[in-house]
Amino acid sequence: MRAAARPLAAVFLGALLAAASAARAGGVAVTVGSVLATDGGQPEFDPRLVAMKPQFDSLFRYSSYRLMKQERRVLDWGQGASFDIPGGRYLVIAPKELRDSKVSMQVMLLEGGRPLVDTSVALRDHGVLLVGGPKQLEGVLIVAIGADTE
Amino acid sequence: MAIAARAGMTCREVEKLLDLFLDGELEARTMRTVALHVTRCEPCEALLQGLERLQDVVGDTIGDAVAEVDFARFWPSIAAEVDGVQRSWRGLGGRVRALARTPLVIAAAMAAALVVSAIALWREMPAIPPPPTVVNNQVRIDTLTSDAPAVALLSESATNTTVIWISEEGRGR
Ligand SMILES: [Zn+2]
Repeated sequence: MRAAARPLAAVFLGALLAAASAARAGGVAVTVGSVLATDGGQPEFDPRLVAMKPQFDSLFRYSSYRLMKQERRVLDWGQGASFDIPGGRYLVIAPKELRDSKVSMQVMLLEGGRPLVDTSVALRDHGVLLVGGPKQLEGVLIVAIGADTE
Repeated sequence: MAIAARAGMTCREVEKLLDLFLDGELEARTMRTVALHVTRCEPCEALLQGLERLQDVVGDTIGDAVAEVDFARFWPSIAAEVDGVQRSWRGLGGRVRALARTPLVIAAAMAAALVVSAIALWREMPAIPPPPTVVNNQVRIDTLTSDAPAVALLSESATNTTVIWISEEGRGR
C-alpha cells in the first residue's frame, strides 16, 4: 500500500496542475473539500488542512477535524458542476463571472431532494467559503469551497 | 425544448442527462434540477451511483494520494507552470471518462495516467512554493435560501472567512 502512494501522489499532483493550467485559460478552478468535525475523543487535526487551522480554531469548537474527501475541477463560466458530498449529498456550483477580483457563483447544497443551502455569492479570487452543519457520522460536515481563476 | 426552465423532470429525462451531470456539462439550472431529482429518487440515485463508481476507480486512488500530499501547498492557492504535461493529463482525463465503461480500459488508462503524472511530479515537486501567508476569504452573499430549520452566518475577522452554518435542530430525526 505504502509503495503505491508515491505514484498516486503524482496522479493527484497531475490533476491539480491540470486544473491550474485550465483555470489560466479562462475558466475557474473550484476546489471542494469535505471535512468531518467531531467532538470528544483524542483531539486531532488533519495535517492536510493545516492551512485552514487558524480559521477553524477561531470559528468552531470541535476537537477533531479530518478531510474526508476533496475534489478540484475546472469550470467554464456559466457551467454548472455537481460535487459528491459524503452522506448522499450533492454540492452544485455554477460560476457566473469574475468582477473586481471576486468570483460570483451559485452554490447549492442538496440533501434528500431539498436545498439545505441555495446561495448566490461573490467570493474573493483564491478565497475559501465554508458551508457547515449537516450531521455526518458522529459529527458534522464542514464543506470548504475554494475558487481560483489563475 | 427548454428542459432547463422546467421545474421537475421525469426519470427518463434524468437518466439521459446523468452522464452530462457527472461531467459537469449541464447548464446550472438543469444541473440543480437533476441533482434535486436524484436526491429524492432511489432508482435514479442508484443509476448515478453506478456511474460514479466507475469514476471512483480513478477518484479513490486520487483520494488515497491526498494523504501523501501536503494540503497546505494547494490551498488557498496553486502555482504551477508545466503546460505540456498538463495538456497530456487533460486529454487523458477526458478519455478515462469516455472509456470508463470497460474495466480493462480503465486499467490501461490508469497505467498511462501514472506515467504522465510521474513526469508531472518529477518536474514539479521541487518547484512548488509554500502558499502566501496573507489570506483574504472575504465573501459577499447576494441571496441565500434554505430548506433547513435554521441558517446562521459566522465570520472570522483575521481572514474574513465566512461560514454558512446549517442547523438541523428541530427536524426530529
Ligand atoms: Zn428518477
